Amino acid sequence: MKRHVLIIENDQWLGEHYKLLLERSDFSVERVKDGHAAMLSVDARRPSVIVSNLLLDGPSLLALLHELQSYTDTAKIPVIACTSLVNISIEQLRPYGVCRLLNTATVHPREIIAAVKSVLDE
Amino acid sequence: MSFQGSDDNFMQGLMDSHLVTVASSELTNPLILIRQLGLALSEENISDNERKLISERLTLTSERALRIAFRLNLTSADQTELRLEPINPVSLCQDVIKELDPLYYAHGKSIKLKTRTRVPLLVGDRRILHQIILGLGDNALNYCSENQPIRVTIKLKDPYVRISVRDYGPALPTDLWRKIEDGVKKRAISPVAGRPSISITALITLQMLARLMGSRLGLIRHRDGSTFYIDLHASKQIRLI
Repeated sequence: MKRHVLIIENDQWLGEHYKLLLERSDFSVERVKDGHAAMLSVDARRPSVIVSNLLLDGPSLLALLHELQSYTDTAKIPVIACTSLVNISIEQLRPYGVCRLLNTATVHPREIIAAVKSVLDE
Repeated sequence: MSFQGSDDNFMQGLMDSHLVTVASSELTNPLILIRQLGLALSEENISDNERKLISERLTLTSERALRIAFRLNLTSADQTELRLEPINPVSLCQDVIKELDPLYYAHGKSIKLKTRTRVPLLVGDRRILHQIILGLGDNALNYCSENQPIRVTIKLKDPYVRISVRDYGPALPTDLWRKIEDGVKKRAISPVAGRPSISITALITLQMLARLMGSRLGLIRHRDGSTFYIDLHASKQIRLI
């Protein structure tokens, strides 16, 4: 059975690009545009990993991650955060379940796939 | 027309921000997308249809980035360069919608003009007003769906003509605005705060352009989105066409 990845990305085309990349690597992928839709998606089907833009519309990713951390069944979902912000570190995000931080300005598509695979292998 | 209370301070704080910071953050998103699409094009295992789709998206996103760059460039204009003239707001908005149509269509969305048949001319700088409405339209793209097209509306609000753009993004709660305002004062907006339905940097750019014409952007919050508007004086000149 394919591992399920949830992508949270406000930009439609960037989200579709990530989705296509991961589908080609044999993942099942759903893309949503904000935190509310992400919660509904997680309730409907728990993803093996979440790949999310750090800056979401409306409630932030941290609000969503805080919510996920409050339930034992969702707290263990690994999260890969994507951002071009330079003033934030993975150490600041680890308490929220973030295990990888990708710089969207420099990341190569292959590195996104590699990050998802490595998180799942841990 | 003005933002009330804390929103006024908020805008003043934003106007004090450095233009280079504004420029870099506003251009980042389209450039990230352009780079990713460019890298996707270089992959060998993509079909002709995918290549065509990616090329189209590259073109439209590049055009969007160029519009942002043009707007940023315009903010450095001073008021002596202004060319105030009577403008037909209907034809101006029709031009903007025509320009944005391919981008909206490619996203499966639409932007529509809603107006009465007889709207007076307004007084403004055509080039700047065109860029302001274009900027609001560009920004609203992410905040609509197939069933909820973006509406550009022209109304007479004597003695002004109001052009507004209604989106369906997340509402802009006052407490969020206050939080951002505090962040601006400390020059350290939380990088992980939730985003309102317009990027802060886009707002700064458009507000600077509006101020060049002695006007300001206004905001109406809705339960399911926001309306951004600009009021400009109605022209007393009789319209002949």
